[in-house]
Amino acid sequence: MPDFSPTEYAVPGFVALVLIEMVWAWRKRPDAYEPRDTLTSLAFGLGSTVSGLLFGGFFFALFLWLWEFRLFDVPWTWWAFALCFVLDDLKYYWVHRFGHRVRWFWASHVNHHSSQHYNLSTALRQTWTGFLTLGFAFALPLVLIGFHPVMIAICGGFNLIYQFWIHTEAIDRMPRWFEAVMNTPSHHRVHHATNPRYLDRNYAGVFIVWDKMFGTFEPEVKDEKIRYGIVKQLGSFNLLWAVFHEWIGIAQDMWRSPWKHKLSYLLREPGWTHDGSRQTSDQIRAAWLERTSGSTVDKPVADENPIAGEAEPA
Amino acid sequence: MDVPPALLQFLGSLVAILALSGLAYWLKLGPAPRLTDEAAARRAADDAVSGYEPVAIGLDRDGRAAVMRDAAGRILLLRPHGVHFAGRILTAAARVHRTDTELVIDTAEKRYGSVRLVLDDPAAWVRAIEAIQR
Repeated sequence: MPDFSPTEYAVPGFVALVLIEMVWAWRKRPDAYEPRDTLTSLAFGLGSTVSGLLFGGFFFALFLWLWEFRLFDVPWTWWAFALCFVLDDLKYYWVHRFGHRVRWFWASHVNHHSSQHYNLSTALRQTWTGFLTLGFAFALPLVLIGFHPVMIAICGGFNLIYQFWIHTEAIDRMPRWFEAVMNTPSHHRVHHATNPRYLDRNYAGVFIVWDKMFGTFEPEVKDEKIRYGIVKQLGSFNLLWAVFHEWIGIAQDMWRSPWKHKLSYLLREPGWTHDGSRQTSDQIRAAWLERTSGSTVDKPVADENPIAGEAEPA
Repeated sequence: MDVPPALLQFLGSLVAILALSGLAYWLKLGPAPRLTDEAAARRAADDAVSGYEPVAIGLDRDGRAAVMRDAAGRILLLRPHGVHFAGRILTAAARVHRTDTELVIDTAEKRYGSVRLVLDDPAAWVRAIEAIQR
């Protein structure tokens, strides 16, 4: 594993910002935090670092071995780092998109979404079971192009650090130019929402332009209250259940279903069933569009603290 | 005694997350939710199951929970989960019984558990839930 890990250096900053956001919640939005939810989310974060220590080395060794077969010798220069960061973010977009659209991957990524809260502790709610998916495969093109695995790991670390601050309701909108290019609290609230209009949208890590390029962008609607979490809310703060519930669900569905459908419960989108007893996000959205013109009105988030003043959304 | 750096980091992080969660508790963050009226119950129902439109609502007298039925006969149970509500459409495995003052509905889902409600007309809800058991 690389000696330098930017996320480790960022941990004190994470703690300080969670503290600051808690004080904001105490003064303006006591419902923005819930002690048991916070403990669960932070325990996810701690467990994910242990999981990374236990299994990350294997994938790093695999990348180092594959790097020997690289097409180019990418130098250790600032422009190579910049290019690597952009391409790694493009990789993140696709890993993330698969994380939502393939139930095998979702079983791992659902951990990040299963809180009904959206605050900075949610950012640290990271999976323990990422090693069970094929997420690592999306980095292989970068390695084979010739970016050193250490460079990729460092860029990935900075990518994660960037994504921390956008998990908040305390910031309304950033300036228009920033919202146009970068992932922001507003864009990422959409991503964590279960409102039908928002399901499976805004997969970006750092640059929101990927969603605009690939047709998955959805702007936050000013007058619609966001509901966070997952379509079937956990209803439990049990940490182990929260970690493994979707893996257990897949196993149960595969066990009970006819042979010809078993693999579909692993490879198709979350919510798919062979008997139509549950709904996918596309079906939920289609049903909602049929019911309504989409003009629901409720109290929006973060009116209390529009940090960017009167900035218009992009 | 030499403590491995990784273990030290783990223990330090554990202390930090307990401290942060304790602070949230001490600041009394996360107020218990209440369903103040049927309109609130309808909104919570749509939050729990998109498009769910109840035709009958049994609202707990303290607003702690609700049970409702839609035109298709689906029965939705809502109970608090932290600051929010979590809902379940009852299946044939659901069980219901009455105590002196409460209606106890068990979803048969271990992690969601059972819900206690004080309702105006518990007998009607017992009948409705027993109907889906058949």
